[in-house]
Amino acid sequence: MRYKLKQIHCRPWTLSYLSVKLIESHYENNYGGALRRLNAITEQLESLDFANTPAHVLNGLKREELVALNSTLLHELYFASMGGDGQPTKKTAEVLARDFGSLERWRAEFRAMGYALGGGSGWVLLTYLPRDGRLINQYAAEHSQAVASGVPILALDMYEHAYHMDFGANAKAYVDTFLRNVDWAALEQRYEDAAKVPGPRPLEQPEFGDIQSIGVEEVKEMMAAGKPVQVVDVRPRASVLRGQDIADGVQWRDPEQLQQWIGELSKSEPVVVYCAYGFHVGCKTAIKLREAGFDAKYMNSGHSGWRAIGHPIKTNA
Amino acid sequence: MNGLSERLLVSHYVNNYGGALRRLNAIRSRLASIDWTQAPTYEVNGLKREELIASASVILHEVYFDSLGGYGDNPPTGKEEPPEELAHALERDFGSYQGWRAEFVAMAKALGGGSGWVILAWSERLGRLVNHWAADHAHNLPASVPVLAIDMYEHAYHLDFGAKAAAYVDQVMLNLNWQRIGARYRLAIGAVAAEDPLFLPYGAPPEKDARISAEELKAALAHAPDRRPMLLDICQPRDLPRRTDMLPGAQMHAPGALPRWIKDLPRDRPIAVYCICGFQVSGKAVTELRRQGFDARAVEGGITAWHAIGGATVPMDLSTYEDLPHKTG
Repeated sequence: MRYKLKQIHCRPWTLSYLSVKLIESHYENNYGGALRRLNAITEQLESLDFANTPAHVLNGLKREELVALNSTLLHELYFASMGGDGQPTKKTAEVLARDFGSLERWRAEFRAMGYALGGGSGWVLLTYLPRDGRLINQYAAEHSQAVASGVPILALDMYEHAYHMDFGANAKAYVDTFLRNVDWAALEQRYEDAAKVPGPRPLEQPEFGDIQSIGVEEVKEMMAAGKPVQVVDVRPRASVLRGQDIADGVQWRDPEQLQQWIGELSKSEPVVVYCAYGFHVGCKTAIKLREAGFDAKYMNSGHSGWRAIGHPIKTNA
Repeated sequence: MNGLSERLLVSHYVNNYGGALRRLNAIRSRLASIDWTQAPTYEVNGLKREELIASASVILHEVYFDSLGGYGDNPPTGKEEPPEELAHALERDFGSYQGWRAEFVAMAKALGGGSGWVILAWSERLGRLVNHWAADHAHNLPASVPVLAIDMYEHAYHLDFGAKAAAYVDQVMLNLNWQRIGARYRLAIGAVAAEDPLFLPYGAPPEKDARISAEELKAALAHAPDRRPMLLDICQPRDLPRRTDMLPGAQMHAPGALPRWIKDLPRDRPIAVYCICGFQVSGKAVTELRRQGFDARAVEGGITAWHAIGGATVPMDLSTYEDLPHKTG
């Protein structure tokens, strides 16, 4: 398969304080160069006998393919990022304020990241993260560093070919000039497209019906804030033998002996139970508690979740 | 230098080499104040990573600048070839000098449009010279000693060559100072000591106490006024158009007028003499001043090194300068 050239997205002569010579050289030599390299690598890969290719040849080609492909994609986004008046639209300003505290805070971080890459090489990317439904500013020291599953919607090229001809070593002036040329209307459209990308599919456990789960961070916050909540560790007995660990501030009760301790719980306060990882023991116990009239949920990452967020753990004496 | 502009080289030295050095010093002072038992791992990793990159950038830039330039006051150097010992080593390890050159040049050109270094290094472990690839400052063949390094970061060529990386590489190959590269090879294999006069910048005085580094000068200028060195800015009339600033408090003089200005120099305190880059202009003046009994020292790297360490300057003041052809009443 051959990768096709894309037309330059911005009109070079309309950019302020970025010379046509710089933009043309960037498009023809660096973007075009990456695309030509990508096609040459692709052609070579297509003719390769994978069963008999030495590892170093394959690694070398696949590495160069990744670099050239990302360079191609990021340059296309870079040229599409410019051509505007640098004034954020109402919608983009709101989204940035939502994700960074304020538009100014976003700009300060993005700009500082660009300055910090001066004299080296890399990219500063504003990237939509479907997992969390938010934007982040992403650093990349070279073309192939990318946030997994992120959708970049604004790209600042910090390779020195992007500015040296016009600005010499003055990377700061280049970053400021880039920001004055950002096409925010187009960025808003790219944001809207990116925001339609669904996050990773959540874990579904239809066998447990509609029993509700709660995250470990939320439980920790409720406990720390002194909110009424009854948290019970219901891992199987074998998990909590002497010498094994248990979350600080939590009591263990045997899930096999529910009837013996159900009377300790109050129906007027929510109950959270959990097992080792958030699968059947916790879910089933929560179901039984609900059936008995308790406001019960299971904690969805179990005891492992406590350890994963760094909650204090003590050893069972 | 032949086909590499002064603007490019000075920007490279002051901004990129000097920038790396300033960053390295800032990182070191951060590291000096860190509480190692309490610091979060990501802070330790982040700082040590940046320290590695900045240190490697400093060292490689020094090798790069040291590899350039002919043997003399700006003659073209395209005809020079490796001295005998290094030429033999290249033949031994790469088949021929031309074989080595073809690989080295191709590797450099392959890095065009990206960033990195191509390094000719001596590896004690492998017992040979190798051409090694580096996509950033910190890629390195462990325990090898760089003998020649070509900077393929785009700051090394974009001002002069734009995206034409291949033309830059060819131009660098014409500007190699093979005497120095050969000397570094002998140093790497343990045949000479680093104090060898071959490692002195061209024209600099050979005695250690006839020179002062930019950092030492900065420290000395912080002394009480009576112990502070006097600052002498020596500049050829033809180089004045290249100058815009000077060290605060310096007196600017023409080297040709030395018999006139030497009479006003103090004998009770050191005199720091600088020119643009610390080669023969300050070197000759210091040699003459020392012959006449003054405690004169040449500032290593001149005002360019002063810029690179972030030293303060003021606009150039020509009021003490002699023989200004264009000086008008």
